[in-house]
Amino acid sequence: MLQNWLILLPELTLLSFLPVAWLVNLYRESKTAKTFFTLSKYFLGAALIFTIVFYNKSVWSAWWLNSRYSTLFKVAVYTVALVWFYFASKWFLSKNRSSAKFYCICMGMLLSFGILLSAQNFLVPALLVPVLCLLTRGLIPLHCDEEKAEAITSVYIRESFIFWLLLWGGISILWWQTGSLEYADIRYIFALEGEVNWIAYSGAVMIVSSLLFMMAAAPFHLWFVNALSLAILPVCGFLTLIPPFVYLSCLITLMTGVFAPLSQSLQTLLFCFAVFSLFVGAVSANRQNNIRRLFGFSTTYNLGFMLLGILAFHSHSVVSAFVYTIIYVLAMIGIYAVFLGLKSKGDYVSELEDLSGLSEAKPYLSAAFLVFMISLIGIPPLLGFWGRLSLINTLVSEERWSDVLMLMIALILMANAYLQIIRKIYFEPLQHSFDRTDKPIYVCLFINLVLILISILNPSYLLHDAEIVLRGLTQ
Amino acid sequence: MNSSFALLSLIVALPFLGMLFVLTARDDGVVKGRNAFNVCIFTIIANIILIWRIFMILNEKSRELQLLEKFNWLSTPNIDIVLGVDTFSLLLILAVHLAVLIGLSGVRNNLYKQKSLMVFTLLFLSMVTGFFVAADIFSFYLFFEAMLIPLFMIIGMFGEVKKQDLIYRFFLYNFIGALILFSATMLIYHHQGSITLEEVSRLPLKGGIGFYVWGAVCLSFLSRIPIWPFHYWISSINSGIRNPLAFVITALMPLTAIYGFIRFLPPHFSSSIGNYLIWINIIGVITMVFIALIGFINKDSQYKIFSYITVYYIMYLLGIFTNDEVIVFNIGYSLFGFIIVISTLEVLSGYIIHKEEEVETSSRGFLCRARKLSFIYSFMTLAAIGLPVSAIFVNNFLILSKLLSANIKMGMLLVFALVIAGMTLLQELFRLKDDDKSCRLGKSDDISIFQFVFMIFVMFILLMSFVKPLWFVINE
Repeated sequence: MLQNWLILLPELTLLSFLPVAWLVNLYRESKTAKTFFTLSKYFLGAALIFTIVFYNKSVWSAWWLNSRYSTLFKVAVYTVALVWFYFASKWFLSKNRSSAKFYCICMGMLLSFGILLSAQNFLVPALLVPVLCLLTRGLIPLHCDEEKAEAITSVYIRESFIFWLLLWGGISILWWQTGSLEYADIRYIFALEGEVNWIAYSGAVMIVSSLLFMMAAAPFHLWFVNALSLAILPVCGFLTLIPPFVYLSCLITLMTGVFAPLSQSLQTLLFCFAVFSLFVGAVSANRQNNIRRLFGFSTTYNLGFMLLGILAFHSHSVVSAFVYTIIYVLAMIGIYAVFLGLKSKGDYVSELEDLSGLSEAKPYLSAAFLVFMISLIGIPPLLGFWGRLSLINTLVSEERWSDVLMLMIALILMANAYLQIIRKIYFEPLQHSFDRTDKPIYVCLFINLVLILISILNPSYLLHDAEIVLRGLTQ
Repeated sequence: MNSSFALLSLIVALPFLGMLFVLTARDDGVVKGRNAFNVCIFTIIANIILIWRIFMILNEKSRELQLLEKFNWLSTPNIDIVLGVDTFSLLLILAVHLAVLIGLSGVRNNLYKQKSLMVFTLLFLSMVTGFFVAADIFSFYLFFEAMLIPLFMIIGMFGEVKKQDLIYRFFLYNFIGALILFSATMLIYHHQGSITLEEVSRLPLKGGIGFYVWGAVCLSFLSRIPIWPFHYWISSINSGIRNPLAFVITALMPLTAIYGFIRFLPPHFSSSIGNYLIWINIIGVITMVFIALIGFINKDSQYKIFSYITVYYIMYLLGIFTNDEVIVFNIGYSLFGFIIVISTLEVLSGYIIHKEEEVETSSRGFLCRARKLSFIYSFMTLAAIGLPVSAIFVNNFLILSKLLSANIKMGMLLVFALVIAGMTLLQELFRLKDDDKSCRLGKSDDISIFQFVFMIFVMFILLMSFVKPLWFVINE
């Protein structure tokens, strides 16, 4: 009995943060934004350690199963969240706003993500996806213009309600067709039947579609872009950095596990979403004046890039997609950290015009921004090149020449959008004065830059163990 | 020959480390970029000494890549990075370093974004050195694309602001060129794995794949040479740059394409796209004549130098297409002198333009009063047009004779373009020497004694390269 509780420690730690934070918020008088960051740091750090310790132990293995694979993604998610919580605390301190709600919602989401990553039964996502949507709905309007927030969140809730229905509908269909909701059972039954009927297929399509909505793949991306343009920086960063790992993992689990017998048909569906995301993201990014929207579309583009590469769901493509996601997240952490360092008269910069001549006022931040954007384009010798190389190598080995061509066209379009930012920063005269940037932001940026610059010398060391885990999953 | 010490990695890494030092250098109203400038100079001189050392241990008679350094870079996909040099590539590395050093002498008193200029110059130098020592397909591509960013930043910051749309096009065209090379690299990798450049030349790629690979390689390199249809944006960018160092760096871009053709040009290359090579030859010659004539009638001295550079680069390109190994070495020796000459001419031209703008007068007849400047400028112009004072003379003579023997009609057109390009430079020299009373530039506006001594040193290098191309090599 005690052993079971010990195995549940990662989840219990995250869960216990909520009452502790509530009590602190209620009774502690001298609380600042840092108080909740410190709390979340300890709880999340403990959860991370427990996750690693109990990486292969599970209590209710029919519902959720801890494995090396799920642990890999959990470690990635918790680590990135920990880093981002630190950056977020800078925002709350600078604005002197309460951070309790932010950290509570984020920890709630991390708990849900953790369980979702280990899910082995469709009831788990059926319950958790609505919870995640509601938490996201609570996160978006935090400390921002209430009127605009109301408009965006109400649209988001309406859309997400449709996708809950789709998810539940898909799960019901699977239960009706197979008589079970367990991943292993469903896969076994599908494999046994040989040919899957169209009803079961439509159930799978409904589930995958709802997942793509959560991932913000085009054409379901608008909620994400609108949320980024409205939400405060800590929320934008959290929504951009954390979910890609979770939903990528869910997609891999579903496609290599449950829906493996249906993979051929589902690949066509994913291919359409991937191409659409790729081009919608790249083309729309070129038309944005708001930098957060621009990076929102950039996320959609990168999602399309990753989806196109992973389509075959064999060991190479899974490893490539993971590598691509890690590198993308590293660069995006840097970009959001730069945003946190850019304030003009107390307000955080959000329009492209505001960046004019930034290199004159903030040469180091500009240089960091330049490096991260070049990494995102995938130009050598930065780490981003490795991501691009891995994915395109996968496509070439599968002889998908037309896909390579599409990727390159989209890459050129996206590069053009990044060039607009570089032009503003470096080639245009200074138009605004910028406030002083905190030293810790420089330190964090330096660490991130070192990772991006030095890792390219021997990238394998970064992800050697991750590769072994991911290869094991698909073999 | 394998090196016991990673000298090649070191000459790539040293400018990069120098760049990191420059980044940390103090840059304010008091220092005015002087620290950054000094670090840059020191780094380049240190690298030149290292390059000299490599020359000592190199077998200059061998045509194979030497001092090979190999390490496994990636396991997925499995890629080995191999570095290696031969006399040809090392000579170009030395020429590029000297060109940048000469360019730096022209921006010694620059106050506008001096630190940024030094940072991107050193980054460019690191990448371009890596490009010349790359001995496998991946490192070759990697450095080919990597040098784009410092180039883009230098042109963006020191080119004319009005031409920013042109910078976009510059980057995107070159980026597309690099992506085309990337696709060819991936195709080669898919067929043969991570292979060296020497193995590429022996690849039996036939049919559609051969056509695509060699076509892509050809197109990607052509995108960096001011040959039609790529001539417009390159010429606009070059003529818009007023910073001598930035101009020198931009003028080195076609050199990377020339070198790429030499490294990639195997017999299979010709057989796969042989029918198209004649078209490239024709377009090349027409572009040469066209640009030479425009340069002759254009009054902008920067454009005149650009047209001269373009004509010569295309001549070297056509020389490569003759597929003669001896000619390739002649091209190497000639390029060494050519790069030094154009860098010096540009620095001097930049100096004259700067003086013109400072005193707000015409520079016509300036050389009559500035004796030191006159001496150097005249020498460089004469070296540029092919008089026997540098390695350009003998080697261009051999290249031309080969081209004339290959195709007399095209060869005649080529000679015509070269004559016009030479006349263009002479025309500018005569203008500067035509004593005009209205010129308000005087003896006090002459170059400093420091610059003069440095230029004399450059002249010495050129003269010695005429006597013996590898005069500085003392074999152990």
